[in-house]
Amino acid sequence: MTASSTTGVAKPPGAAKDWLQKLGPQVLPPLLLLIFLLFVWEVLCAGDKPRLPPPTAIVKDSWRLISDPFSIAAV
Amino acid sequence: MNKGLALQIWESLRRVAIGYTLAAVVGIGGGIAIGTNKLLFRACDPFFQILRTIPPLAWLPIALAAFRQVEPSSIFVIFVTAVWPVLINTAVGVQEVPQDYRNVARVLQLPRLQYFWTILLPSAAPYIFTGMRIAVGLSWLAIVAAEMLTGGVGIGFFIWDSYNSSRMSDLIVALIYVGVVGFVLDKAIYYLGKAVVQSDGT
Repeated sequence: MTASSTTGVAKPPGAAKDWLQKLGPQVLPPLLLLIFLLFVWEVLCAGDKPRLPPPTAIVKDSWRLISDPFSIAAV
Repeated sequence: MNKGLALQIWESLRRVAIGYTLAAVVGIGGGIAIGTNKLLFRACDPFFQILRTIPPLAWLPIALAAFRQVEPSSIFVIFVTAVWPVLINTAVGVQEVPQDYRNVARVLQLPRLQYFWTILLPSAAPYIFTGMRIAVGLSWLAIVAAEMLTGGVGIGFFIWDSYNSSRMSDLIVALIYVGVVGFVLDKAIYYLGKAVVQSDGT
């Protein structure tokens, strides 16, 4: 803890830093791949009338389904 | 239906053969890639773990929407069913190459290509064939179910059609056919694996 206080405010405190260093290699690669895949998907389904909707269209069209899983009213 | 059962089965087998071959090629190739590259494995594994639990038939509507034809959609369903066991087993097989073998390769300074053919592939082969055996069984399950939904030809459609026209005897004969063919497919991959693995060992 003393080390983190001497190195300055910008760096994360010891515990959070450890957690990030441990989890980073596990979480970062899939996350980057996910972003890449979503981008490729978006580009592939970018046409005027695509056979499958791109990710942005899915979020837009099905927002009710995504945002409120417990909705009851069938409007 | 005028076509005989062997012809119906043949139609289903043809689809399975195409989808399964594609799955084996992609599965073994991809499995070797993610098995040898740790970073690639860490990036891909969560996706495989989620995608592989999606039931085969759940892929059918999206495949029909994308391909707009029954034939490629059925083949895609087979592919997406069969690819995960091959992919995951191959990756594990490649990761489990004994350290002793790797050390020997390093001492002998084996070229990469020779390491691939003489060490990596033979020691991963049992895993690969285990995956391929699971996959062929799953493909056969998936094609019968997919054909029930898509209709037209194939043993799955024949079973559904027999039920709809109350031809129960035909249905039972078809079921026995499906079981026997599935058994033969499983054994075929088993003996193929046995032959390949043993010939590598000598």
